[in-house]
Amino acid sequence: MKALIGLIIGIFLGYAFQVPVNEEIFAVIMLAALDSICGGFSAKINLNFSDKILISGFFTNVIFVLILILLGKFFGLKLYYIALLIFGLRIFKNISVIKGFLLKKYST
Amino acid sequence: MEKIRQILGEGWSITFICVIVGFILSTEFRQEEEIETVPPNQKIEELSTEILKIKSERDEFKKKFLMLQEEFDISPEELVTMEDLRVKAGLTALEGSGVIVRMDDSNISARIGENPNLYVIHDEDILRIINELRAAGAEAISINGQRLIATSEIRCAGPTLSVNNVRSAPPFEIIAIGDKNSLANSIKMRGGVEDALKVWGIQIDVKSVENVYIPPYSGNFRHVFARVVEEKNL
Repeated sequence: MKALIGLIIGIFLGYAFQVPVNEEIFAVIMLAALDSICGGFSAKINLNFSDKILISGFFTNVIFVLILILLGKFFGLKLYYIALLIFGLRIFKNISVIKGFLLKKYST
Repeated sequence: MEKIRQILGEGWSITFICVIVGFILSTEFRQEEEIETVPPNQKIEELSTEILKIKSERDEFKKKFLMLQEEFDISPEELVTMEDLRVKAGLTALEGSGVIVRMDDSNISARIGENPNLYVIHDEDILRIINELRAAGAEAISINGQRLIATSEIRCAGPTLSVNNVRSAPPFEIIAIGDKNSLANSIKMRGGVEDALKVWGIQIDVKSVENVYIPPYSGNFRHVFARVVEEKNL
């Protein structure tokens, strides 16, 4: 429930403040955020959830991805594809954990 | 059941990250809304019928003008005074509303194996801009302080640009006098010059200004081969 309220607050913030759009950075931060959310829920299922770990994980991921984008500009390669791929894989893995938990909960 | 409730009561960290997701989503949505404000087809049709109407009006006025001219018997030659000619030849400084177009080389560095020439301003790019400005009714144009007249050249001279045989290096500042909105729109037009050059990262900055100053042509005229003759019917 708190997550939904956060989402709505974020949407209002986005309408209130004008931010220059950079597609690469936005896409990557978006995926990092989704990864953190899915990871958070699956950690809760495994009963090893911690706010500290989740937030620090999110920020280290974002910072490293920004470094990758910078390096990619330097070399003329799209290095941030690596991050997109890894985030995608992790999101699907965590979603399957959540799905397994829900199946077990409701099929009995 | 207890476990599900525990999981739905997320920690504050997930809320925080949801704020970020919402922020990004809404900025993206707003960006898309801005992009989708292309004039719909219907409006284009309306505008084109209006253009046709105004064109026929203009033709009528032209006819009227010619009739009146015949009535008062003023030949077009007499209407042109010496001062007019000086203005038309670009020998006087001019002022008026217009646009200032600043161009600079790309800030994208060329990828390995790519031709770095693609990311540099060429004479063709400047020519395209000048052409658009003239099509939009520019009355006087200068490039880096050099007035463009009928015999001005614009060409690459090594890494610099030569106009009226005076060289200048980027950034280039093109100043044009005319209707400032139509001049600015002629360059910013969707799929126009600015869009084409932005692909290569060339920096263009178009500013509409109330009052711009354009210096006179300061070089000399050479007429060695041309001589004045009577008008002939070919």
